[in-house]
Amino acid sequence: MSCKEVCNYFSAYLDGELSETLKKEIDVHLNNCSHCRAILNKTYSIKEYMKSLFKIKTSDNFEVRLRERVSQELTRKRSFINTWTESINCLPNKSIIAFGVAAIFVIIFIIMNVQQSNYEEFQIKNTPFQKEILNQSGMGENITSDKANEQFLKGESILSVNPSGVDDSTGKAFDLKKGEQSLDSKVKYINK
Amino acid sequence: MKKKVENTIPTDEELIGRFQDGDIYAFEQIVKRYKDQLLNYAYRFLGAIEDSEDIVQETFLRVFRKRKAYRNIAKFSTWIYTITGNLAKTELRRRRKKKLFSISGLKYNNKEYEIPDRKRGPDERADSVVMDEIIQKAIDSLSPKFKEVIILRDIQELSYEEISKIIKIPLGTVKSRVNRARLKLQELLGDLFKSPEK
Repeated sequence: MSCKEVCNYFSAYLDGELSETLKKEIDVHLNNCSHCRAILNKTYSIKEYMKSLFKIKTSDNFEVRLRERVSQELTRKRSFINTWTESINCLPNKSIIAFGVAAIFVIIFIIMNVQQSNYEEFQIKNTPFQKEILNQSGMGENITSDKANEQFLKGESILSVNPSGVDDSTGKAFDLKKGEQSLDSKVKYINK
Repeated sequence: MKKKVENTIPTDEELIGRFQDGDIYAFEQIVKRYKDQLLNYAYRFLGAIEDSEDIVQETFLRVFRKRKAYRNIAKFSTWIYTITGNLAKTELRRRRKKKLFSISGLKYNNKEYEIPDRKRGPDERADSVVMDEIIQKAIDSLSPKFKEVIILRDIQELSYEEISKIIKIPLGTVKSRVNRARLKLQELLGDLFKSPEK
């Protein structure tokens, strides 16, 4: 083992963390190398001396200062809460707050309704009937492999979808986005 | 029959638990228990008592503010040492930016001192103070990553496992850093320490 390698194990050697085999190997090197032995001895002395370095103590008013800072912290928190409460109380008319809260509820209600109608539209779009319309107009997915649609196609085979996508009765285009309206138009077209 | 009153000292984890439940007296006990050891840790890191005391004050304020953040999965000492260490490192970085700090190379050649025995007279005690200052300067000259491990291991006498948790590095890395830091100190201070043999 070289001197450099031995040095890598000095801490483990001093802390008694080496395996017996490794320790013996290092002992052999140390017995023959006064340079490494001197480094190890000095390292050990410094390590031991470090334990006895003078210990400083906090100043006498350390805890008083800390207590002051903690109470300042608490006061700041309280004053923030108080300021917030006061600013609400200082509003000219409390009915403004009530109106604001009501407005928020209305907005939430509208958002939820829009989401619900989007969901319904999605469901209508995905009915076999609607998919067929979408396919005919080149807007839908290829659903020929879908069993349900096959059944639908079989059942409705005598009917054909107007390839132009125009309601003959009204002359208006099928509104594919408004599911119910489109379905009504489609029924009118078939009945015709 | 008289009931035996058990006078057990609460653990750190019990104290912080009580503090989390709103017992301010538990916080005061934590302060009393840790203020000096944290001050020594910060002082060995920064080398200035006033700054170190500010760091310790800030540590306790953070413990106060973030008491709910402590989870009983780690030792409380690990948590509080991590806070102090991070604050001390931030302070070091701040100093370096401001260039308030200049460390000259330390080497005490051609001098040979005996290790002073602290239990001796005033002259020896004066020697001891000088020696402490020299050692502190040598510690200051180490890079922060070596400095923190050597302080935690050889001055604070923490286990390698705890050091690994405090500074969040693998155990093997801690051991190798301690070894390199000790060898570096040996290079800087070796001339002050007589080798027992000749």
